[in-house]
Amino acid sequence: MSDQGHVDFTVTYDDTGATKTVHAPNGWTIRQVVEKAYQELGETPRPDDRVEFDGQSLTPYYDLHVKEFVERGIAPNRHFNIASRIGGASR
Amino acid sequence: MNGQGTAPVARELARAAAARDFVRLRAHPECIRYTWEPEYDGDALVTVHLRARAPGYEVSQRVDRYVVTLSCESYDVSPPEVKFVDPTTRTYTAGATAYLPRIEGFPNLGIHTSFNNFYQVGRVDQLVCFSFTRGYYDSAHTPNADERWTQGRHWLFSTIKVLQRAFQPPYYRGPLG
Repeated sequence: MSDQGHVDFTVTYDDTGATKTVHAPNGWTIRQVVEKAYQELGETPRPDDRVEFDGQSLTPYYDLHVKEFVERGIAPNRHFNIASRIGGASR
Repeated sequence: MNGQGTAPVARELARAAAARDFVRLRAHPECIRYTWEPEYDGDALVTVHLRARAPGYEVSQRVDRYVVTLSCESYDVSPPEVKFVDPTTRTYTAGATAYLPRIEGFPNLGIHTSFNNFYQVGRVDQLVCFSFTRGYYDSAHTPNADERWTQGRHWLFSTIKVLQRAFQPPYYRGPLG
């Protein structure tokens, strides 16, 4: 959903299933959207976190502004996921 | 979970937690998005359906389907026990490969058809191994503090979502059997 000058992104934190909406001004970068999402979710970024849309990494788009991100048709459903590292057999 | 494996919790508590989180799971947007179609037996067993796509499946629109049971006898003090099961019988046999996926390169996820290094002496069992499965703690694995299952924070969704992420390119490579 969007209004004049803003775009809504939903972000799910995969560890907990919590989902928040970020009402992002067009002038923000995607990096700012992700930072705001962490704040809204009450989570702290961890070095191995992976931020994705439709299974693809969002990182290459961090410096794009919201307006351009939307105009280029990236992540058309405007939904991101944040996945943290799980513990595995290697430790 | 003290390094010697998990223990069952009182059945009424496990049942209540499973029932509560089944309802939460069924209503979650990602459950609907990925069509997990969760089922609950009214006691301590939740079953979900997972759909997987391997590299190259796009052209044919092929999707592989798996059925996963999440046994909640120790839930939610501990994570659910996760098993890939025969879609028809909803049972599994240690060592069988027919209804298991081949996952490669997904960090810290192990799927063992037959694992024998559990704390319980003599146990040989299928093991889906990561820090949101009970089997992980019932074998010789210890997570970092921030990776550990945490009651009240992690729930069925947390476990299922890891598997769902592994069931897509480039990690999912088709059926194992």
